[in-house]
Amino acid sequence: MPVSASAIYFLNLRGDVLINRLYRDDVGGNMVDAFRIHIMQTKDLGTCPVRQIGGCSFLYMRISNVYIVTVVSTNANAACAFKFIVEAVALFKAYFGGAFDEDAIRNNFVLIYELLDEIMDFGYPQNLSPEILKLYITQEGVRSPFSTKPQDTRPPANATLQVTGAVGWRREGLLYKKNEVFLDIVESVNLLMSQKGTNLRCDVTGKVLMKCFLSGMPDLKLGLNDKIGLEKEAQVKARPSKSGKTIELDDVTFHQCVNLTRFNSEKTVSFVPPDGEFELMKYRITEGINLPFRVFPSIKELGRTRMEVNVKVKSLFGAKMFALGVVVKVPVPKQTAKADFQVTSGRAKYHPSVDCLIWKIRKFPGQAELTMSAEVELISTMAEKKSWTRPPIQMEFQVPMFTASGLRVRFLKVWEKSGYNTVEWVRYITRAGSYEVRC
Amino acid sequence: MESHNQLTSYLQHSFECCLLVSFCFCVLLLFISLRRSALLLSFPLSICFLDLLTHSACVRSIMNADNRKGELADLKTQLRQLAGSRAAGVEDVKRELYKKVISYMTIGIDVSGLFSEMVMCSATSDLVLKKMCYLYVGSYAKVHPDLALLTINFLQKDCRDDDPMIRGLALRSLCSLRVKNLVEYLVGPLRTGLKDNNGYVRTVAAMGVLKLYHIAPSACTDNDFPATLKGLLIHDPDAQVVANCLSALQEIYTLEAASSEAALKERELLFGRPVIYALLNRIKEFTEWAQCLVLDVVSKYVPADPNESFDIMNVLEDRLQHANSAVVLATIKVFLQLTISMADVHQQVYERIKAPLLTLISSGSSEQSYAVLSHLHLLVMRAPMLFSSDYKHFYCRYSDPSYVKKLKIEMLTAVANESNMYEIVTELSEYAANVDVAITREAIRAVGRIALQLYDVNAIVDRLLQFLEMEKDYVTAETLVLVKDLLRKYPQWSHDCIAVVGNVSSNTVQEPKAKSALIWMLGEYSHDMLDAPYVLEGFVEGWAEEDSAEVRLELLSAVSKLFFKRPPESQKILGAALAAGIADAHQDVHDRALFYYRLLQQGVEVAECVINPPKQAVSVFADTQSSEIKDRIFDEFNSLSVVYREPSFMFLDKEHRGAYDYSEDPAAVSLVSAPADLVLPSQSLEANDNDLLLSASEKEESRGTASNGSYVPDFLTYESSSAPRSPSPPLQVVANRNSSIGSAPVARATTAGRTSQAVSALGIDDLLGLNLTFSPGGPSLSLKLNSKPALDPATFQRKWGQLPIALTMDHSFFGQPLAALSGPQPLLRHMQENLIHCMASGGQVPQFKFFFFAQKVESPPGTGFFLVECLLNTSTASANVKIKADDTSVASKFGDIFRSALTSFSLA
Repeated sequence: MPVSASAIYFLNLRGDVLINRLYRDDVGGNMVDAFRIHIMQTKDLGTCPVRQIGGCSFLYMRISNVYIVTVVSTNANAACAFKFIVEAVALFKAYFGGAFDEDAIRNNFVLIYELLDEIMDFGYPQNLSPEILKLYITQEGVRSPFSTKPQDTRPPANATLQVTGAVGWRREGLLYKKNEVFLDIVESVNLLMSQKGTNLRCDVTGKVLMKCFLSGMPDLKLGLNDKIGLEKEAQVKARPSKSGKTIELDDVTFHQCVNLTRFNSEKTVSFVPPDGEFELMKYRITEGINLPFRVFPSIKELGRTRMEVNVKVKSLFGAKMFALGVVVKVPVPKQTAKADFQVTSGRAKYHPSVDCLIWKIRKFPGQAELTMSAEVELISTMAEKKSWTRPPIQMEFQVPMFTASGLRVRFLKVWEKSGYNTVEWVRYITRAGSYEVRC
Repeated sequence: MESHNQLTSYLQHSFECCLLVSFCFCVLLLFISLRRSALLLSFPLSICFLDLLTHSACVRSIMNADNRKGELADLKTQLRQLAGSRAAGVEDVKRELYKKVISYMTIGIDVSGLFSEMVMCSATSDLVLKKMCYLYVGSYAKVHPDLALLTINFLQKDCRDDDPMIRGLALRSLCSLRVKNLVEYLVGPLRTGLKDNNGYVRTVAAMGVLKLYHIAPSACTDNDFPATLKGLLIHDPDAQVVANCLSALQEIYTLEAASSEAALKERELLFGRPVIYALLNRIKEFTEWAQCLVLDVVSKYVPADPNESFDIMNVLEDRLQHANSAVVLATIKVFLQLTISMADVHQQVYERIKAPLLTLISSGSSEQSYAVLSHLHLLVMRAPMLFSSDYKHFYCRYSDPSYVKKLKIEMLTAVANESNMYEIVTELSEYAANVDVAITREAIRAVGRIALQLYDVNAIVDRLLQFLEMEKDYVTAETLVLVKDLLRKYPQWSHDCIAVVGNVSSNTVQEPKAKSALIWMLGEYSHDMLDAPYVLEGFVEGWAEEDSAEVRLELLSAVSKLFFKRPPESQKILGAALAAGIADAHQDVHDRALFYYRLLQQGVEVAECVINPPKQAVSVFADTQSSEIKDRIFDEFNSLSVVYREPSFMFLDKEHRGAYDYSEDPAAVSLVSAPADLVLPSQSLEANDNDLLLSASEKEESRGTASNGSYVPDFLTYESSSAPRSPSPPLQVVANRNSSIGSAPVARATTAGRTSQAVSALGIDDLLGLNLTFSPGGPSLSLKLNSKPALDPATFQRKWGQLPIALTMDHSFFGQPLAALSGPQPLLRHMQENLIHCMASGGQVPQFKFFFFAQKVESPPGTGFFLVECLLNTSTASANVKIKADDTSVASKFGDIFRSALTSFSLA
């Protein structure tokens, strides 16, 4: 039984109910109180996302300043329930355009009720695809488009598509003056490096995001320089990757539009894309990762009231490229009084609220080496040798036109029966996921 | 918002009133104060103030309520005015009013008073207005069943609307009214809805059938709706309709199956091959959620042969690449269930699902990773080797929430083996320096667990000892407990450990568990630790301040052990400890002190034999969860059971129990569909508790009954007058108790290692329950069995399906004739002599399976039966016995009879 949720609540941080939707009678109406008393008002909040209170299970997650609580009275499928909430939030975002927080909910609560009614019936998830829902739930609240001519016995688009065996995620009859496809490869690098500079753990999770403005029912085919795809192809010579190397993807998942049978047999990613923005695929790579940065920290505790922090950051990507919005966070003890900095570039400051020295570099050139050194003064405390456990140094950055995995798009073919020309845009960007260096 | 302004203005108003009133009071007080002395004044003043405060609060709350009432009345009149109006723009005004009503409803204000007005205004063509109205009606119809009748009219009308959207919405609201006496109005629209030419309406109608079933089951079945759904399930072109039919049918039949046989069969038929194939062939048409549903149904399907399993897996393989984590997990479940009986393929499945699972934990929100990690943990426990090379995926991120970190640490513990152990322990040591105390503890415990699992523990011991040097109280505490466990398994390390432990200042150890561990080590290794007597003396002096009975118990044992090794230094301490112990208010402490005292009276050697016999290293620590429970959790893969690590019947309410599980195994079905008595969970819990208790006492850290010969002190009081030299009677009590709860083997396992020497020395071997013999119908047993019970296989099957397990026993017959059993026949004959008859038997060496039954004498026909499932394994010389009984009160007695019958078996 996948979900069969009995109720879904949206609460703000104080525990006020923003939305409550009871789907089934098998839980009492006072479930919110149970949640408030036994979870929100205790230390347990946030210690475990699944809790059981009196025969009911509460699955909750916090998204910005809202708690979304799913109440189930059965042995429900936890993974499915969480995924459902995540998808629902994505749907709401698609409707309100961006933010999902308390204010957005208060401003759109009628719409949310409307959506909650459609996406779940009697506790069972129904259709959550924004594409389809937008056909009949319009923000303006007019009568549904397919009922303008009531005499016309044309069934709604949803049913049509299902009957014709066509695609459920794309409307027919789309028309764009200019046919464009935007393709972004976004990678986040996760790194955990030990004090000695050895890679404890390093992996890349990547996404291929697409934005399609294409007319009709186009068929797309995407070629990447991944190993399996290339081996399958005869002309291996045409590798565009500079080093000529191929990328081994540990695992790939695709948007539901991708023809998985074809992927398994021919190893090509072919699909009929939904209209607008969507996530085409996700992948994970653990081997052969090019780290964009290396960090060489040295932290010396000089007596009980002074510390010397030296951090050297070296960029390893090509000299023509550059990283944007580089932030290096160096944790310092709570009793830090002040810090004096010397930096070769950017700005550094001590932030007492997070107990960190934060060094920001707006633009970090490739193949460069920047350093920050700081003298930190500590307030002497009575606590004898209360040793300070050093959290790792964390980094944030974005490197455009660089992929840590080396993944490249080899081709993106668009085929439509009307045979129009398309413009394809491809971008690469590498971001820091959790980029941690122990010191 | 308008209403809000009104409210605040009211509040201001009331506040002004308060000021005015308080001013009056002040004047009055001044007046009084002129007349009275200042001393007297303070009293009335404070009283007046209190008065004033309560008064104003009252006023305010009344005003608030009035205010709200006023607003509601306002809304009421406004709605009334709009009801008939057809002026332009009236829809917008209505919409605002409706919004206000719904927002009140959301924050929990009762707006049911507006019911008739809301219904009157519902004649509109505006879809959003309609939806708000439906929502309102759905929420309050239950409170106003009489008024709900008003809505029927317009809902029925909407059900015939030209717009399929409106038809669907209206039908959904109609079914959501949940009012019993309106059911008659529901049937018609539902029937037309199921035949509607629009998919959307049919989706709603399919769910409507389920809703109807929950309101009035008979109305649903009498109108043959399930049959209609079955038709749609196979033939409907719209996949969502099929999905909803599937959820509805599944729920209806599962609920029905609890009461009727026919439904059970019906359900089995329904989810047989044709339907499963039909669903699988269309799997790609379903939405991701419906796919989860279908996959769940498929996972319960039992294929006829391996080829069919492979076909299904081939169809589903690409689902593992789906972006929706729920689909991936559901697919994994199908794969695991299909291959469960094919060991090598099962292993390949693990290989195949590894990559998708690892992706799932690193993508998505932390709550999702938590759910996935819980599942991964279950799998890792079954196949630890599989993930051992991927251990780096379980390294914690600094930003992970603690619940994810905790699971990751458990994963690291589970995958540790000789090759990756060093890295993992290094990583865990990093976490030991974590800011989060809970995680630190978790990490240290993990290091300890790894040390206990593996053989080459050289490096780990050093690591653990380094923790002691961190000089943080909680780190020290956690580490001490671990070092103690480690020493029990690897006594050869005592030298290194003791040197470091000796440096631990006893003042820094505060936690009871850690204290007991330290005291245990001081007692055990007092010959190696020079200052042990002085440290223990310090503890004895602090006896009165020691709150934990556990620590005091441990202290008694430790001081006694010290005395055996270094008598001259410790005689005084022992005396002080025994005196304090005997005077102790805690029963167990008192009993143990007295027991030691009397043992010592019998001579020091005798006492040492009992209190401090030579020990054997513990090879395996008892597992806290039985493998049966683990298997059951595995059967419920992809559900909350995995997250809670409990089979579903342990956490679901009894009225929900039985409704949602669904399995081919009759035993499992009966387990969960057992009607509403708590016998089963409570018993299995009890059994579990007992296991825990025993294993815990083995770790010498259990409540009350710790340390060597731990069972004895509790019972000493029974026989305190008789000479301790013949401790048989109390021990027999123990043995009896253990056997009656069916865990004698565990008791034996725990006692055997520890006390075997002492036991044999005293010649009480038989009394520990090692060779219990009872004769059936003996004086202790009042239960007599019918010599010719009549039970046909079908009834047996049915009863087995319906009854809960009354008793489970694990019986060990090592060295007994039973272990040489080569075929089922001899045992059958033997059991028959003991009036226990066989229904079915099977298997060959070394595994046999029997179904037995017996009937209580003089019970009416068809009742008083005992049903037994007995799994014998001659190679391990163990029997697993499950007993079900019509009359559960005598089940344990029957269990004794059964056990003794097994024991008395001989091949002759």
